[in-house]
Amino acid sequence: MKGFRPALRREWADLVGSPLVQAQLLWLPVAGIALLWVIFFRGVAVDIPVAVIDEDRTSLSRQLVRMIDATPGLNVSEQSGSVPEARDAVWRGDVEAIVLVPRDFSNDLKRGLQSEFVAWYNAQFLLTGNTIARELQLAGLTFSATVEARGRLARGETPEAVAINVMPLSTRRDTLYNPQLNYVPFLLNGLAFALLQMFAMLAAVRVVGRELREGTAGAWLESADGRTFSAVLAKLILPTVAYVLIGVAWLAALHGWLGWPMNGSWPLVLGGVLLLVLAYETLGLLTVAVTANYRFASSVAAFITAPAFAFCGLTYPLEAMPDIARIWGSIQPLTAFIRMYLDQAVGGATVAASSWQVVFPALVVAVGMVIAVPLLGWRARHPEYWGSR
Amino acid sequence: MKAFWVGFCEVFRRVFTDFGVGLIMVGAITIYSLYYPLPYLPQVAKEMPIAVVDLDQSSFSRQLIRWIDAHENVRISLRATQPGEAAKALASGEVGGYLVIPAGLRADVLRGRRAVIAYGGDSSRLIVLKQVVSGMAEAAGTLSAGVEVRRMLATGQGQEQALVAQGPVTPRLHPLFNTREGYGAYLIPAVFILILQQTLVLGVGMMLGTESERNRSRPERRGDTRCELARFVGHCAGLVSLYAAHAVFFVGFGFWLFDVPRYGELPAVAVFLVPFLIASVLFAHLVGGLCRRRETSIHVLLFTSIPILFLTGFAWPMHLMPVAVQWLARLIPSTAGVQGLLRLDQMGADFSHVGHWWWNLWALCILFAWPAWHNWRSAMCGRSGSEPNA
Repeated sequence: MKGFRPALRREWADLVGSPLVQAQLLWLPVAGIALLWVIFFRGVAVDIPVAVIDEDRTSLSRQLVRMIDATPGLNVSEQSGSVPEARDAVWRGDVEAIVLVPRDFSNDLKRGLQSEFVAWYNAQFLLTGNTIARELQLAGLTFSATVEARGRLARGETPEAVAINVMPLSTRRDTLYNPQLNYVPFLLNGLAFALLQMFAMLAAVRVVGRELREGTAGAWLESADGRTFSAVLAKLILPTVAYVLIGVAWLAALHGWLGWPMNGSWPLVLGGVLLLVLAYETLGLLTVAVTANYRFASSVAAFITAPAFAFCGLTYPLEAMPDIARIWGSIQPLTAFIRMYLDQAVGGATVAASSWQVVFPALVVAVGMVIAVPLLGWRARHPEYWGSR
Repeated sequence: MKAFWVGFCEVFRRVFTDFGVGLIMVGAITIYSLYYPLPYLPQVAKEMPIAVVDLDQSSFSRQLIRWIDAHENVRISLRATQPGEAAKALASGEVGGYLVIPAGLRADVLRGRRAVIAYGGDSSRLIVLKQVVSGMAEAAGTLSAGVEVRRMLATGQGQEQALVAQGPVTPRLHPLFNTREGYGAYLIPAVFILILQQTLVLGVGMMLGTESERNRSRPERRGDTRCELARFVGHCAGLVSLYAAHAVFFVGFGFWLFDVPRYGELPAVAVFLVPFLIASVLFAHLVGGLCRRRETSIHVLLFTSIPILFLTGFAWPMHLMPVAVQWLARLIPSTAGVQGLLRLDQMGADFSHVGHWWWNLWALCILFAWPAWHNWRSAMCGRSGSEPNA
């Protein structure tokens, strides 16, 4: 393509000469993903501290406390004397829940009555709260089954009969892919691509926006022999290569090094990474072309990409959002990518089932470029649009 | 004193005359605070679609399905004839979970054999999974404990049998503070605090970047240090006042609008906000001062919002992060801000419970004061040295 090579040489020189550009293309996104990784590296919420108030003080109540302590999620870190004392510990953040074993706990059990223990957990920190509730429920079930089985065995029932009678109708929970609810493959992965889309859109705004603002847009077009398409393409090559490589390296680490399975099509997922980056770069170009103002286009990019993760349906389901949020979420390329990635990596969906999630960003790229490239060419040829900020 | 008021008024002049700065420090705050919480308006995800595969087709299995459909968390949107069909619907995201009732369930229960129903969901979407699984488990548990099973199993053990089905020990679980366990009530307060800090970082970065560019062509013109310092203090006081107004807007209007529970006493919240806002303003000068051009702050610092949000420990418990990361978190005002303000305002804690976070913020003020002043001065009064191509 004519004009492409000299224009690319101009970009390369800019990259080599500026540590800031190098940071934006490589070090900042890598540092961002690495920091998130270090934050979430444990993956599963374990050893959440809870306070126990044991008013019963019998071997049975101590056994219950040991069972709570033995769940992977919880750690009995305090034995409190009273509820107010334990509540202070929750407010200070020393513990996240209070478990109270009431005075008649073992007496009721021995007399064959229904017995209970009470727990209050901090639901403001919702994620730990959910884990606590799940683990306490589990500890209660296990404890019940132990007590019940012991009683029946003592009365001379056979172990087989005990197994049936303790739980006549039981349920088996299958969670696909990620039975421990590890946060690395789903939350951290989503955040990594949320960072990449942010960098991709800002990079496109920056590479073209700066030429307009500095009044060098003419020189930029000249370096590509006046061919707008070659000039734009040369601008996008370096950020595209950098961000796609970072995305691919992240996926390789996740599925290769950490060993999470990829149940679907690798080529589709990798193509999806490329389309994600290209789609946000296109949106960036479009924003600069329409506003012709580097600073304003940067703000628009921030407005679109910074909250995109909240709207992508990963943490809070799209189906449960109000219509306006759901529509806004579904037109974001990040949402399509996340959906496609989960369907492929987790669900092992067919390529056909994910076709819309690939076609949609491709459409964004195609339609966006058809509008953005000629408009940018026109802006770059008219100095009256230069220098806005 | 005159220099103080010059600095103070300068903030407002800039916010109202420089459209770029105003857009971040007034516009973005208003817009984000209304736009970011939008997905979470319903607070709790209800009526998640699930698939049911009834291989038993008995009165008992139909009863179970009716009970599950009646649960508020789930809605049966697909009645499949084979497990494969349900798995396909799950993979395509059409349903968030599934339930398989095995053939012969009723017969098993009647004969006193252990019967197993399998349920599950897509664990890659945690909130959906939680709603689906707890809905189905509760319905199945109720049925297991309920009249049907007991009647079928009754072999004359009466009262005791009923207790067996329920399990002799039940935990009574009570969520504290965010009692509806709403997703919005959990996320919105933390995000609002982050928005305060991050718009300060971006806005101050734009202010200092613009000044830095403007002064590049001019010779260094440093004036009287005391006068400059008074102007800087005034400048910071102006920013703190502006952001105090934003904080009032969030606590008074935003929390009300999005139905976030508040238990805090306003004086305590205000006393806590003071060092948070001062520390955030100084932090903004510390990092924003690195920007030598007007637009650099958005391009270089925007992405930090995501890691910084998780460093606050509101979502992922801090004790699970490596110690070095916990220390890094304490060096950012939003961590102490989120930990302290959420406890005071959303959890109704006493000021003494969050005292160490309050001191953490004052320590940051001391730590950041000199670098912030240095960065402000070199941007406003010209700097010597090389100019990176930013």
